[in-house]
Amino acid sequence: MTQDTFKSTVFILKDEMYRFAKRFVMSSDEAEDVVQDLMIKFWQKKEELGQFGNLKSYALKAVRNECLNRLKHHDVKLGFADMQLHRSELYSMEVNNLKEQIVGYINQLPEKQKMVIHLKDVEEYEVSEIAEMLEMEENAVRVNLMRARQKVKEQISQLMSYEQRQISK
Amino acid sequence: MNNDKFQNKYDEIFQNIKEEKMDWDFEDFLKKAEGNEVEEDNNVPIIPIGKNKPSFPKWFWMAASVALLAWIGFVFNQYQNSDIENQAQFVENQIKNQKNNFIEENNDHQTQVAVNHPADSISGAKKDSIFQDNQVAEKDVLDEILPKRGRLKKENKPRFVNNSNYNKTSIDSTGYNDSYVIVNGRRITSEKEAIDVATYSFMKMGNEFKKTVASSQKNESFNNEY
Repeated sequence: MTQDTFKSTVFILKDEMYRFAKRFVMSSDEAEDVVQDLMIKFWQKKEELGQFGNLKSYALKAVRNECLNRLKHHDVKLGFADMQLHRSELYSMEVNNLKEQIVGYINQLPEKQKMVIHLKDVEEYEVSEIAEMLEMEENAVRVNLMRARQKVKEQISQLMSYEQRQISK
Repeated sequence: MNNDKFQNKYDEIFQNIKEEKMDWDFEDFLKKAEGNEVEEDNNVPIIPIGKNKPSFPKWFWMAASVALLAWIGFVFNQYQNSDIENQAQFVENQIKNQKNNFIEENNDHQTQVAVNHPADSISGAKKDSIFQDNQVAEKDVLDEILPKRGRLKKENKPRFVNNSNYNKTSIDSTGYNDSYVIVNGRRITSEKEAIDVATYSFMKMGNEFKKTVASSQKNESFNNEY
């Protein structure tokens, strides 16, 4: 695999990988770190990458595994707890930043729901592709997607009604 | 209306998320990747897998250790074998010794005729009540029972002194002595005496039988009269 081929087939996935990593790890820096490590690993094994048919699917699976491995680490767990606390404080102060609140809420969803809603509504994959990527049944993907959307919409409605009350006061 | 509003907000948020990008050029990536490769090249020591001949001292020590092990094995084997042979010899000797004792004890019973007198101090050594010789009645019961004319001439029992050569036989562990039998507490040593005792027993039994028959006949005649 040449440099150009690598750039056009693997390196262009970096943004997608970064966004997906951000659903698992709490900081942008950590997500960037994950993507850089994986890209270097892919580069080192660029000759073998042709064996994996769907590179997108392979890359996203690798991101998920790498993130989960990192989350298992004790220090990362502690960092996660601190970050959650920090964020909750931030949210309580910056009430108007609705987008950040919703993103935080999405990140707190159960793992399957979080992955499904991200892949469907952000990356716009088909249900069948998501099912293959996450090794799930298509029906299970649909159910998880429905529940995740419902929760996020409820959260949006609550926050918006709260904002309106704040404005009307 | 409200639902549309929420849906719009939802789409907007996800659109924002989709626009997030990672600020990373391919050139930066290449630099980093190549730097890593160089680093790896520098860090990982290359160990050639050549088949070099081991140096002289290594061979020498290996040969010396093999010779030492062989010598230790030889010595150990010798020691083991000699020990086994000694044990085998010892066991054989013991068996032979015990065999001689056994033969001395058990051959030629007829010669074991020495009888200790009841008052003999040596007989005190035997403690087993079953085989104690001094409990045999020396008084002849037949003399009291039999009429004088029916008395048979008794054969004098031979008495022997202790034979020092047969000391070993006198302490026979089994205590068995087949030179006489005991009937009614009386020691019978000869065949003739045994026949006499048997004859007397039959005579006694015949007499008793006759008496019984006679008494039964009396009762029968009595019953017939009445």
